[in-house]
Amino acid sequence: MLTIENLHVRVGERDILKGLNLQVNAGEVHAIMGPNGAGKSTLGYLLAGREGYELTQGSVRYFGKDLLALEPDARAAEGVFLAFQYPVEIPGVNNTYFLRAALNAQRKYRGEAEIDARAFLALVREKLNVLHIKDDLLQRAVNEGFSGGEKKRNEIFQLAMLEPKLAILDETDSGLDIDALKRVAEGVNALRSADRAFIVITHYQRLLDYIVPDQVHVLADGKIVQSGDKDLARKLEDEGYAWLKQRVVAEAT
Amino acid sequence: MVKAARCRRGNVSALLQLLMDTLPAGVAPLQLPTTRHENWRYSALRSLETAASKWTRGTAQSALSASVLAPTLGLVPHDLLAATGAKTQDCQLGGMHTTRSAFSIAAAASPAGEIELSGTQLFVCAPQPAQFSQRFIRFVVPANSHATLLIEHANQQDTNGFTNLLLQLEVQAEASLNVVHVQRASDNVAIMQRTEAALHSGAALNCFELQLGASWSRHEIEIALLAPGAFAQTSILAQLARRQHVDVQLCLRHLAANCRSNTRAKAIADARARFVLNGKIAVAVGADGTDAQLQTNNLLLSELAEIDVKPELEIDAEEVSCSHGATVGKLDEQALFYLRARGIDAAQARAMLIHAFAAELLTRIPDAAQQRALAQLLNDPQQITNLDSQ
Repeated sequence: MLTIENLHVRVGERDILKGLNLQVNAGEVHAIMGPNGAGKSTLGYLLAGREGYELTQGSVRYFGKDLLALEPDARAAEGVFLAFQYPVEIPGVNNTYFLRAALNAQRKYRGEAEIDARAFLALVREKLNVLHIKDDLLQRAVNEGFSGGEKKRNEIFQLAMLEPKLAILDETDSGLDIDALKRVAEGVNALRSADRAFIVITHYQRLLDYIVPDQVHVLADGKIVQSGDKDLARKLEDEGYAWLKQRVVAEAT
Repeated sequence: MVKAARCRRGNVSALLQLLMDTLPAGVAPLQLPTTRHENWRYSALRSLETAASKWTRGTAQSALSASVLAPTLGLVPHDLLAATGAKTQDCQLGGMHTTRSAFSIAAAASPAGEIELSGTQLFVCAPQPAQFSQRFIRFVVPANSHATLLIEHANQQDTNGFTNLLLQLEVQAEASLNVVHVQRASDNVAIMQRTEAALHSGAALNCFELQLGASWSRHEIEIALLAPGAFAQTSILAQLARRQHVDVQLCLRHLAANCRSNTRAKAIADARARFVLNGKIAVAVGADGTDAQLQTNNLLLSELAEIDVKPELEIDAEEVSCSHGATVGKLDEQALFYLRARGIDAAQARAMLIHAFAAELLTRIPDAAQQRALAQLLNDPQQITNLDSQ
């Protein structure tokens, strides 16, 4: 599904990603962990198409296409979804209206008919039930005045509604208490399927107790320095990121 | 009083001539304001001078079919320029307000009609092609009553005309008035309007103004809170494109103790449009306990658009609570990216954010149907799906 080769990315004057390789197949859940400033969020923003990220080397193929050549809205319609670390508040735009506009824009891009109001609401109800979310969030403006937990749950609700092929969760666990974390994880688990892949970016191992990954990658200083199964996450939790630094230095010399 | 100017016949501009022709004998000659006057700094009359040579003094003909509010709101429109049924009053040039310009003096010199407002009434102002139309009307809301006044500037396409209007609103003791003022004239129309509102004890005025049309439009609004307990809420929303020029001169005069005023203005300027706002709060000696707020937030959508907003406070009383603020910005890049990351293309994402910025102010209109009608005029792309209604 997604093949990232030798990715080098610059933001402003700084090189952030320095030769990142990653292969994600349908149905898999990949966790990307790493210390602050390693480039985790940069990877998410780059894949979603945010401006200001300059590709200096390497490539990102998504179903064989050059993903980075597509506009952000085209990437979304092709099935790429980024759950934001800091979901943006948009006063004056109703959450339900926004979701329907997004869904219909994606359908239009794919040459599908628009979803009518009745079918849309049926879909909303179905997804609300699966995720155990109350519908009061939908009556408000997008993320406006939402608590941290509400914002993250709203991201997962959008994920459920838009049914992407590749979902990138950028520190979805940050700022959540343990109950909110469990609810968000349950939502994600309900959406796991054989034709959908997840990239779960996180700073702590905690989230991975609930969303169990197939592979764990450690990102440090712009590249993946170690990959392994879910036990790698535990090891990181026990030993901290300090041992990585020695490793990065050792490789460089 | 505007200073008299010596105007030799052959040297008088077409625009000034049209205004002078209105005046009864014995009134001092008028002088057109120039950009050297502080309140006219951004509104040059050059473009009007050129157009004025083609205008003739018009007689009112009804063009009420241009109204979109009438069918939408199920109201019978009255012609503001003809204003049938109005009691005609003698014109009074004496005691005129010092800030009146040549335009409002000329309008004041035309016979005034007085209309007593009750219920909800819609007045449409539709200039005729190639005509200079002017009118002076007083609307009165009797004590202890409530009324809604809708004013719509609209016209058939291809009208090249000029409207010069002076409106007086009197809200008597303990009465309340809602005004919804919609200016959606076509691009070859110019409008000069002055609205003077007088609020008596305990009176409430809620005035909402939407400026969408005309190539050149200036609206001077002066609201006088004359007696204790009066309240004025004013909202101005302008959505401009092309080379439109809209200038709003607003003055809230707090003349008595314990009055409140709350003013919000928002403008969106695209292409080479220009929006000007002078928002003044003047608190007179003795108007203690005044509570006056003025806030303006504006959105610039193009490099060549211009927004000139100036909030102003002039306080001569004690123990007042006054605040003002002004912002000018562009569309939020983060919000744009968020919408695009969900599949909404750049053009639609922009339209959604622009509409959201404007629509927020519409909630200050008390009537839901009127709110919806104005939202439609803003080219509403947003049809809110209500879970409860299904």
